[in-house]
Amino acid sequence: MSRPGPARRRRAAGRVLLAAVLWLLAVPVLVPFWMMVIGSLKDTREAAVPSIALPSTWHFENYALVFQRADIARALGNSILVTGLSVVLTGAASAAAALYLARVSGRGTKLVYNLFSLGLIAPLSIIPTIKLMQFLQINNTFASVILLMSAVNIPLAVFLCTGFVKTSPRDLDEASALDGCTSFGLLFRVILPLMLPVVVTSAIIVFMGVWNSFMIPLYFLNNSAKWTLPLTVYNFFGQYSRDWNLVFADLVITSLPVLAFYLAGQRYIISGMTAGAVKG
Amino acid sequence: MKSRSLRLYSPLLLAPGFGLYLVFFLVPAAIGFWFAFTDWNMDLAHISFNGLANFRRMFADRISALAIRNTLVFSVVTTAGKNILGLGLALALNQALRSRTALRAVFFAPSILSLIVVGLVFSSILHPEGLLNAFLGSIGLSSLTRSWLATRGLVMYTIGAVEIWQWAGFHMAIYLAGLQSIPREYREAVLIDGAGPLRRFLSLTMPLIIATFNVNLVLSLIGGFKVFELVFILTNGGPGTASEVINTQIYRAFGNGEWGYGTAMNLVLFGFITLLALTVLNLLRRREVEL
Repeated sequence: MSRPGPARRRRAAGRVLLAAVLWLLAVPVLVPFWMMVIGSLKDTREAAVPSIALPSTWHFENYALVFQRADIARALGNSILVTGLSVVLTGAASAAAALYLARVSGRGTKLVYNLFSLGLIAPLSIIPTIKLMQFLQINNTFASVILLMSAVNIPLAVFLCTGFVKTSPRDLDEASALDGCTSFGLLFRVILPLMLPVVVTSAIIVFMGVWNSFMIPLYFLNNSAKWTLPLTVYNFFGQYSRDWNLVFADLVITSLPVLAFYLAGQRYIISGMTAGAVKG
Repeated sequence: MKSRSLRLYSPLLLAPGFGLYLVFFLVPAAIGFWFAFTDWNMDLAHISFNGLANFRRMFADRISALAIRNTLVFSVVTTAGKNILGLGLALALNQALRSRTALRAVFFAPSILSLIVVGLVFSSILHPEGLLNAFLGSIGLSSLTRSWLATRGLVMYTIGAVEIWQWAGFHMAIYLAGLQSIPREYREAVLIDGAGPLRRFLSLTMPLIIATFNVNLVLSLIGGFKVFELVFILTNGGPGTASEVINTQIYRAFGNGEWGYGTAMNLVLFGFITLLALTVLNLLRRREVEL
């Protein structure tokens, strides 16, 4: 379709103007990121003054100091352990449940599915959960956080996986049944490889949620040796004083794995994090 | 056939996932439901039912009534902000702009950050001598400078603005997915029709993305009700009790050992969220059919 010249030029000018406005709007989005990174490289006195200017002297040693003082190596290990196991447990349990829910119909199945749906919106019952963990004598352990994180994330993962299995043909199931496959054989050898895209999506959701989680470790891990990365920042401020350069360096360290992941695979993170909403 | 299908899909498949969810999510929720009507606290050896006493206290107590009101206001204000900005950005970034991939990445970026990061960075920016006031001063608007987090009538809106900063891009991404699912022919038909941009949006785009709108509305309303970390980090409920919300009150009830009262508040939160989600979904679903 050809348009007259002036109209097209006007449209092109309009687009340039729109892009300019959007970049102007992007400034307040980017400034906090910039301030955090720049602030982490200043000395204490300079970081106390709010500014987006570059440091007058660069203090990369802030990071070494934070690593040492907050025992980042241990916290990183804790974060990887808690996040990794939550991702695996949620993924495996949800994929298995989804296979059953997608293939077996009946009143019981419907009830279970509706109960899972409740978990999509209901808030966590913090106090009874803490009491339950105490009763099971796993309060203040990694196990309690991993089990809870999985329980919280399973509804959405089940929802996504069930939707996916429903669209895949039953013929494969029947064929593997004739081959003498058991339920779990079918799951691991046939369905799980097919489900890989949606399992990866669930893994991204769980990874982001658990890695960044602040409230659950705050309530459930009150021993600083067990802290995950987001809590380590509490090493750097008391009620009255904050070493902002060290606070910022700690926050950069906490965000770095997620940011690196985002820069490498932005598309996957965006579609992963919005999957529940887009497919719902 | 039936027996083979039963053998093929063993109920054991369901056991780990449902078991975990049952034990660590549903059971605590059920316990909470029960104890919301008791005087359960740290000093008591025997727990007894006290009917609606917890709820009566909640609505009579000035602070928890304020917390409930703040939670409602926060949820509504942030829902409006996230959706207006999210939809606006999505419409703009659905145009053929050269830098749109980069712009989408930038606007979405805040939603990957931990709340502790967002909270602390903004507590620096919003400090009376922080970046925002310094900026306002430098462009000659010092009359607009405020104690953003320490002014009673303002603090909930400030926290709301931070929440919107973090999640507007997330909602943009969902709206974009909705916009991209509109078939090309539709858009072209309306273009030929000669409708202006506003009519095009109202009569073509909006009806087609009503389901997306729906999801965004429910997600942001629920997200608003569940607010905890941002308040906890930015103000811890202050100044005084001006920014208390339901979840910070639950945190305090837990700390004070008033467990029955805390679970009652959790039940109120649950009730609000369920009621809202169902109302919005029903309302919009009916509208969807009409269109």
